[in-house]
Amino acid sequence: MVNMNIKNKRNNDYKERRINVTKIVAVFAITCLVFILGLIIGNVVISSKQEALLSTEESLKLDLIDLELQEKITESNPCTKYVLYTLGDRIDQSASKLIMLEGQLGKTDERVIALKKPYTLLIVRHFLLIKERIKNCDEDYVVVLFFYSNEPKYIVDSEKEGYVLSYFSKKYGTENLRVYSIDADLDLGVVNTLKEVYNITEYPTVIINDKKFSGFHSKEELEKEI
Amino acid sequence: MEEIAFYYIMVYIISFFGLFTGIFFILTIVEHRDHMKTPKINLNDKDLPSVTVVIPAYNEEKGIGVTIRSVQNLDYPREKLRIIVVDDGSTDNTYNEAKKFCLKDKRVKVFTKENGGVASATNYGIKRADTDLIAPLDADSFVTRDALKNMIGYLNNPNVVVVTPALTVYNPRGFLQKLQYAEYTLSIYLRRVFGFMNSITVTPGPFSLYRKAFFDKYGGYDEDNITQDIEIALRIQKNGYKIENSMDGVVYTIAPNKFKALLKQRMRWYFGFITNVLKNKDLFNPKYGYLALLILPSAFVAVLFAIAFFSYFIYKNVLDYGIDRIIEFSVLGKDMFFINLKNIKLQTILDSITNMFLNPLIMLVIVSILITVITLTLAKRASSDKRNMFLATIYFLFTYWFFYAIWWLSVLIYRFMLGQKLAWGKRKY
Repeated sequence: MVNMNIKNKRNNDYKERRINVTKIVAVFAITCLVFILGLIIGNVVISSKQEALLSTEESLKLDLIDLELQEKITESNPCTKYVLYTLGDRIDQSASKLIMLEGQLGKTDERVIALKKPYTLLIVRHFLLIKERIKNCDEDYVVVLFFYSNEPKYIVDSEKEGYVLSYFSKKYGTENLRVYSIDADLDLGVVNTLKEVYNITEYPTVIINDKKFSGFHSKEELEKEI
Repeated sequence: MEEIAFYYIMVYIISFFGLFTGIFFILTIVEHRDHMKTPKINLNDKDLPSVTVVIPAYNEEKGIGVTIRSVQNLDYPREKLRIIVVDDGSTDNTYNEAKKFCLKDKRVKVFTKENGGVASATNYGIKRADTDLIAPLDADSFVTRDALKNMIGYLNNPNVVVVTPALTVYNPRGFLQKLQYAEYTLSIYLRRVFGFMNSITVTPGPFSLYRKAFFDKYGGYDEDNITQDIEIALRIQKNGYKIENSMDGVVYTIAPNKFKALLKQRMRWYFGFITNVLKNKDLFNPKYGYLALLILPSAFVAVLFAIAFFSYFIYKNVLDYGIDRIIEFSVLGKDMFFINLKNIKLQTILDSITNMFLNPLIMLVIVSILITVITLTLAKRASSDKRNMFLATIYFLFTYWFFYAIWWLSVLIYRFMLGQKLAWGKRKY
């Protein structure tokens, strides 16, 4: 081993530290490349996700026509079991997709609203069908119409009522009960008509078996009706 | 909405800088891939330099024996090795435990002094050493048989004043120790890269190998410093010398296994880092090369990023989610936990996973996870670590940034915002 003492002259040691400018430029170029690549891939992933969403919109519209046809077919034989449960799963799936989308994009995102409209049309149609069925076939089934609003003065109570109704859905299952959630702020003729028919002025409003509950009602109150 | 756009821009800028640093490190490793391991030395035993291992100890009666024995087991010529234990005013049996070794091994000398902190104890030992090299060794750490042999090669370069070890965690058990195990392994690699760039900023207490001539000329450790190992590293840098790092000079240390102890350790480290760097502001001069222009700035950027990420996570997930759950509880009470197994569908679970990809930041997360896993694997292999690091890697990947942010936020808030001083050694800083 050479001299264990330390060097005294240190000035020329700084050249070991000199920055390699070529290297910096090269790294910068590579970083830009990788970064842009990342952005592109990210965009591809996002747009493929959005395409999937658009296709959901299309399939909801098809489901509506599907439902209308089933109605027509079973006009003479209205109490077939299949129709009662028809499309139930699909509606549930679309509902959870909507919830997740709302969580990711926010409730006012236009993509969310664009999906909500065909969804609402479908569930209203389903609601009417089921109501008829219950009346004509004497079924032991409960339908709940839930009008909510995302306006600042109603949103908190609407969310609270949402939790209550989700609990009922979980507890009783779709074989016994179905909750139809309608966004009262949607610009749809059907929504406005329903609001007029049921004379809805405040939110949340829950309608169970034609009985109206305006404003927030607790779990205990609503459970009695069910 | 505007502040969110600003936030995203900040994240992109910081990520770009982070990516730049990462790619720079990778390129540096590729550049030096043929000299990653310590150069071998071809000297006769009598030509090897003499080494004193200085072991400062305070209340280490249980571990001091293990430490001393590990040094005695070093693969190095007997006559070239000395051991000096300095009992820093312990209130337990440390002195007597160490004295036992003097009987059988003439190389071991034990001293006792009034309590003055680890820096003062180490200096005490250095003053009483007369060898070419000094290797301080914390009393809660121990060396592997080949450690010294695998570090000494770097001292062939007269510019090199100190060689740092490949420090790793001994027997990591439980969450916190495993987390630190992954962290220390990553640090081995990072320090090697920093070494290539002349940018090492800390010479760890356990078994950094110094030329004694440096202490003779520039003085020993700063006894009034909260992190004397950072101070001396920066002092070495300021004077233009080189700090090298060995990836195969393996030294084991005991990592704290309780959150509070770990937090205190990190607060001390980070406070020490900030104050020592600020004291040495002239290190930001471009003549110091990458240290000034890349490494020191990136340290601050990393902290910024961690805090930003942490606050975003808390805001989006904890605050939002937490408030929603409180409302749900007020409405449903215990029933909010009701689950009907019949209603759980696989599709909904899959959907929620794929919906995460709507967030543009997800690519960032994926890339950083990938880079971290690759780096950890390489680091583990380079230090010949044969232990299972699977759990440690998982813990590290998913929680390290949070801990990092918490430690930094703690020191910034507690020490700087609230002005509460940190207790260490004989006083508060």
